[in-house]
Amino acid sequence: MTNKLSIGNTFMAGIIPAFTTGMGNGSVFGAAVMCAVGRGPFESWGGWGAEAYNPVTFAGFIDVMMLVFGVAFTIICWLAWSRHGALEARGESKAF
Amino acid sequence: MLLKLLFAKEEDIPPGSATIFFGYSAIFWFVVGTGLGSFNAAKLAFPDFVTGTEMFAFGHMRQVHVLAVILGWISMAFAMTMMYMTPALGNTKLWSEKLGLWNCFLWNIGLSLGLFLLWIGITSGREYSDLIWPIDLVVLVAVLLPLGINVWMTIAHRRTQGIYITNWFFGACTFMVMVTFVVGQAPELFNLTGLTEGYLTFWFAHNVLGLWITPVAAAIAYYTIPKLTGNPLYSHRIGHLHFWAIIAFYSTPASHHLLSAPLPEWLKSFASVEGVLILIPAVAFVANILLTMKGRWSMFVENIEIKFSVTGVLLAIPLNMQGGFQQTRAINWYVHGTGWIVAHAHLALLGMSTALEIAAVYFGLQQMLRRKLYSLALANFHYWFYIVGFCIYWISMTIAGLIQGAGKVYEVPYIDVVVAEHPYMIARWVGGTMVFTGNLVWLYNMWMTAREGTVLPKGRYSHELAYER
Repeated sequence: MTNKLSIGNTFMAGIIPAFTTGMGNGSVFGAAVMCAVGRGPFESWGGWGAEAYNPVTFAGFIDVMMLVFGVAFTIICWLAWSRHGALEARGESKAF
Repeated sequence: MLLKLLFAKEEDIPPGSATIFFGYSAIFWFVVGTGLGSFNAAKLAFPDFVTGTEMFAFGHMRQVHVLAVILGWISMAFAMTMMYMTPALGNTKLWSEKLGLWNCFLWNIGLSLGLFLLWIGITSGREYSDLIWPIDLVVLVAVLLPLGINVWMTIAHRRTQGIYITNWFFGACTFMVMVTFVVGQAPELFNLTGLTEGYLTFWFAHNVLGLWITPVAAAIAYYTIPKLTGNPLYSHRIGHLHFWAIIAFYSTPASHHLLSAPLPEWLKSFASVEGVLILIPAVAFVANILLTMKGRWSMFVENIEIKFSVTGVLLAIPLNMQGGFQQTRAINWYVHGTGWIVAHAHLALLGMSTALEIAAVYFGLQQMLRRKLYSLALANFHYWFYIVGFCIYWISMTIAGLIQGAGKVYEVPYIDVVVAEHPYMIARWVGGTMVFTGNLVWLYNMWMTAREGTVLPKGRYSHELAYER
């Protein structure tokens, strides 16, 4: 049996649903942190264009946190699926 | 054909007829609902798009979009799944196919009438409860009540000793949605105004999500994942914990939608705490389903129904993480009234709930038609257009919401925030249109499945033969 859950096979599935899942969690984390930290000088609101992705701005920090959580969750999922796929291929993973 | 079956004798109606008509109705309304969503998003991205006609104004079209999706797609997909899962889990047949068919027929008529009235501007003016009271009565008497009766009577006539967790949810949710609906329409039926109207409106809006849209979707996963993988459910006890935690915690947090309103402070705090406790049923559900997948994860990359189902379960994680915390006072003041909330609502309805329903509709229609899917390639096209489109939509709207929130905190002039958000409005339109395109392909694929799909041999499941040519 081959590993059907190699990173190549789960690449897109990891990129899309897993990335979104991580981003959802990161959005809450980022928003909670910035709500606790509070606002800075007016220029740091982070709304215009690429400023929304500058982590030193208010909105930018949350957006970057979303991306970081998204990447982290995707990598976790890729590794977990890949290792689980290896177990399935060897017939070592059965239903509870 | 539907009209012919409506007046046929019960014993002359082929089993599964109600499932099939509900299934195709649901897909049709999904196409209509997402098409309207794409149209509305275009109006937000390009303000000069279709102006000058009152009926096509955003305020009219938004209501039609929301109700077409909730009462058309989501609720009809639920009805479809109940028509085949409830009897299958009770080892019996549907209590009344004829009632199911009349239910489907009147549902389509009532919904079409209600949406037409909204379109021409006849509305109650209350978000999510936009339909006027005569249509509310149609929904109650011709839509929800017959559905409930069919589900309850099928469960009562089951030939199994216990009741599987899916049927717990189906039986309870069809009852709870009726209570929610009646109480939620009270402001219009009894002419209640002011704060009472506001509270009851959002009591309805919250509970239709918490006691209908998300738990029934979860109940569907409790059926589809074990059925398709062949694995037993990881834990029935955790399933029961999920069920009772929903009953206890999800029926009370309505006022977290109105944290800035002059409601009693204790009520808002209570609602907020209950809102965080929603994480209990959420974690129970997600863990139970993902553990049920053990040993069968390879199906995630090779089976279309499992691909949709697992995607829906994964999306339940950010849905509940956001939902649990965005309604605390510490965060809500920041995200309230921004695009974040729009993104979150779509994460629930278009993400978690819809993905699980699509899987159940794919599976149920193939089983009831006894035909294999016409084209797996088109189904995969549907999946990728749906999920990529959804992600573009959700990410762009969340970021737009954060910009709006920051604009609120920093007291940025409103028009500057509108300009800053414009690229995200275009992205939202692109994402929504991708979902709509995927649904058009889905409708075609299921239409062709009914006409030309390979006939399933007796005793075989569609997914067992999915990759056989």
